[in-house]
Amino acid sequence: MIEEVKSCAPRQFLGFPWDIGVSLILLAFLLASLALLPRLRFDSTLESHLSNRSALSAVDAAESIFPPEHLTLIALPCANPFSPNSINRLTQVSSRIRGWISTNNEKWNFYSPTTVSTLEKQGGNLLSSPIVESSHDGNAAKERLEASPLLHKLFLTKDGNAWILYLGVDKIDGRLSNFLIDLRSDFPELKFAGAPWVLSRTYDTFNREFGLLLALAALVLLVIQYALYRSVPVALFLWAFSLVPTILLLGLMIALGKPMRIAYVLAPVMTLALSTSYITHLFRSWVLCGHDPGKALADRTSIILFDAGTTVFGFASMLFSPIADLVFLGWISIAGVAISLIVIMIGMPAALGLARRPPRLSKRIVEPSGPSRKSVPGLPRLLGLAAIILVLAASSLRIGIGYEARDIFPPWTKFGRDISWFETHLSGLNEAGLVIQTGRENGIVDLRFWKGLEELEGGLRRIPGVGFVYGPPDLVGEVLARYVGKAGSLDVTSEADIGESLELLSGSTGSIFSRGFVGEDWSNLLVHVTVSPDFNAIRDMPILMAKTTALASQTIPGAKLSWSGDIVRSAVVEGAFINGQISGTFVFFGMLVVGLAIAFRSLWKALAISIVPLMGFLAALGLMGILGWNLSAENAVALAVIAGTGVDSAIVVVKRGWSGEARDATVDTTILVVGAILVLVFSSFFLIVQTAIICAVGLVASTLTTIFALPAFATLNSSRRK
Amino acid sequence: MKRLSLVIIALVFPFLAAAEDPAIFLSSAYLFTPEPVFVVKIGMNIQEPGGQKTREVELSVEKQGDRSFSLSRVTRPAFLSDMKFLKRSENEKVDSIWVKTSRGVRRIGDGNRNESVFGSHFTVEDFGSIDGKGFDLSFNKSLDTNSERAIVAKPLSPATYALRVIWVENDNGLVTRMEYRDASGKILRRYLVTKTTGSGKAMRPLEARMEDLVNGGSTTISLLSFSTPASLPEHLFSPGTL
Repeated sequence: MIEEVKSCAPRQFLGFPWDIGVSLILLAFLLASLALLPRLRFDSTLESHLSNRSALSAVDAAESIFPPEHLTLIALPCANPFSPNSINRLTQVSSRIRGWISTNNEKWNFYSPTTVSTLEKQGGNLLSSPIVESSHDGNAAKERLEASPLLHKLFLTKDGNAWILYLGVDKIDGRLSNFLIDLRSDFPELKFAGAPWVLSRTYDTFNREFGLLLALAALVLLVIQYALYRSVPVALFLWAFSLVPTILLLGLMIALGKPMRIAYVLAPVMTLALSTSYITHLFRSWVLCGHDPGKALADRTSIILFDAGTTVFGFASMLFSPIADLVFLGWISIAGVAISLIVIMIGMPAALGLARRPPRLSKRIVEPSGPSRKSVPGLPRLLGLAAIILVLAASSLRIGIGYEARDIFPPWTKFGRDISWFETHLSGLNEAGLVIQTGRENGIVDLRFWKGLEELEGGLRRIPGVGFVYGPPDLVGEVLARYVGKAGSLDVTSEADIGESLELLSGSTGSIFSRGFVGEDWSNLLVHVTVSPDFNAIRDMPILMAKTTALASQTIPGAKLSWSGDIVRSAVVEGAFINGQISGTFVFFGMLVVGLAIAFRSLWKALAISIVPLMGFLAALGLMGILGWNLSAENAVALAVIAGTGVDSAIVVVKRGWSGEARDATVDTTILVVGAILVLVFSSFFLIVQTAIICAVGLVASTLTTIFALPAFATLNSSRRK
Repeated sequence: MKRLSLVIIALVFPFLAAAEDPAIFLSSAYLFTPEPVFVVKIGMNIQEPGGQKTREVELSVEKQGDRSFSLSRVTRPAFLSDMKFLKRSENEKVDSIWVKTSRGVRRIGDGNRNESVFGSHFTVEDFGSIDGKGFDLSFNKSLDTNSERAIVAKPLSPATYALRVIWVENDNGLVTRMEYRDASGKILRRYLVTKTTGSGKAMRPLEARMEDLVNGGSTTISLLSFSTPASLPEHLFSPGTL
């Protein structure tokens, strides 16, 4: 039902010409920001940077000895890899990749059974031949791989039903993604995984997607505004005002020269959500205060400022994070709150002051429902609620920390299915590098050290969570097996065995491969440790490191150990993040309760309001636990949104004395914010999809707590006082 | 008409016969010395993007007409002292190469002439001696310099490069530089003599460098000692007695 409030004609806010002047200034800022928007740069890096780099210095040092090679895994599934058809297909794919590298002068390393050679003894002759030769049938390749456990594991899947090729790139950008997609158009059976592919894919789609998603969120917001108010001019007016702070914030980022990163993508969405919340409250007050912007502002200033204050508290928790991106996200989110406040408390009343006649609005806006029923739920409901809380709490304990390959792409997409395929068919996608330094040239060519190293590798293979271990002893074993054949002992029996094998490996065809195992001066070596898919970096990496150190102290005493690789980096970064996040959350809740207690002069009210974000957190984390999602620096920003906006609604309801109008405004705000945020489920990145869903669930839980639990708390409080 | 053809052939043939054969020209070229028999001790400094290593290698070479033999063995570090490379170049045959380790002697397949020597940037093919067998040779005047003549050598069997340009000092036959190029002309590896000693026919390199221009890294060789014995024991170049 549409109603028109005819009793009060709209009033001016600052009077003529100030209302027009302020509106024009706002419009100028908006146009300037819009003009800057095309200059917004994108940075699709997923790596989180620590503010304190020293925590990663050990990993940096290890990676300076053996620079990590960013490998894309290319799988070529085939029923029988050694059939003529499969060999032919493999040769075609390999030629295509080599052709691309050569034509485009790419500094990419390509490891394929057609490019990696093995030493081979034929009679008295020693040959170095590629594992797969296009001129031969598959039997020769089969024999070569059967004789080499190392190469078999590297180039074939566990079930032996697919070839695995490796493409190492020097620089991750959209070229790799474009090339691989082009390659797949000719070889549709190919599957891809690995950090460069994921990141180049991210790079390729993120900048295209960002604008579309933001535009879609804006459209959804407009539709919901219309559905709520049933007035095109009002919907357009509120929609435009809710967008202004977001566009100004993006303009600020451009002016600061900061690129848009995936970690920051929620900042504009949060600003959109907050400004929508403030606008909804102010507009409703304007309607109820006889279309007087001054009165409406006076009525809501304290609430909006209080809201903003608590939201800033929520975002401020990110400022304590050890992750540099989260600190910046905290600052720009706070900037978003400040911009929203200026626009909504000065710009919007001025613009409302320009209205000439009252708008036609739906009845639920003009005649809000009565006050909330302040009843304490009965025992069955309380028990039901307790059961839900218990389930959510128990589920939240299952959450893993840090993102994994499967968290990057939605599992229902081709890219997500590829990752899942690799996890099933390989021993693991994540690999850590154990760097062993002897401290002297040719230090690894020492028989006692070598025997200890073989023992260490054997010990590593027995540690739970470790999938595949391969290092220099495996390479030397391969050379001896090929050189000596079945006639002689394959065990390393002298230092000459080690040195000569390494020397043979450093030949032109083997060098590209052996460089990833042995330092140039033979003082250092690298053992590759692949971990199983269920290996949790934060939980399991410290255990693996400690066990390895204990093993090494017995097997290779005196050698210096360090670890490299993304999984080790992730364990350090995400570990620091989770510590920072836990302490930040405690700081936030502590400050929130103290602040609210002082403001309301009631510890009871402060605790009651604090329950709202707490329930939002519980719902969000519980859902993540149930769905098996990990908590990472990327999706944890949802918690800051829940904290910031969840508290908002609670304060409004408490400050407005449980009025029906405050409750309706809270529900409307939640619908608008959740509607806008849920647009992100269309993102190509599962981390963003997860963030949107967590955020939506947390906000809905917060609002439900505000509507149903807070009045009950108030009743309990009254009873307690009586 | 028949007579005219004979006259033309008779006139042109002497010029054709007098035209220089690049194979003959290359056979008189040398990497270390024009002496037919020599032993040289070489210090190798092998630089890679990830670090460096050093080797000391003794190279023994003997040329007998169309035949030439070279044996290189590591003298330092000691644990590699059983490691040797033997190259035998006989008549028109493609070079035969053997590698010896403490685990025995193996002949290296013909397709592996591009294997590196002792982890350096030199290959078995281009270390120690140079000849034109297995190559299509031609002069390229546009690449000549005032003091050097350029020969283009295209491998007849599959190789990691499409052609090699060899610059030979006109005065004495010293190979001063070589470039290994791909089909597009891009230089993949480059050999350059950086220090010499002596002059005229007695000019020898003191220091030379082979660079990998694709992956980075280089091997610098320094001549530590040099001797020219009258002959070397025959068993030195026999695969059976390695």
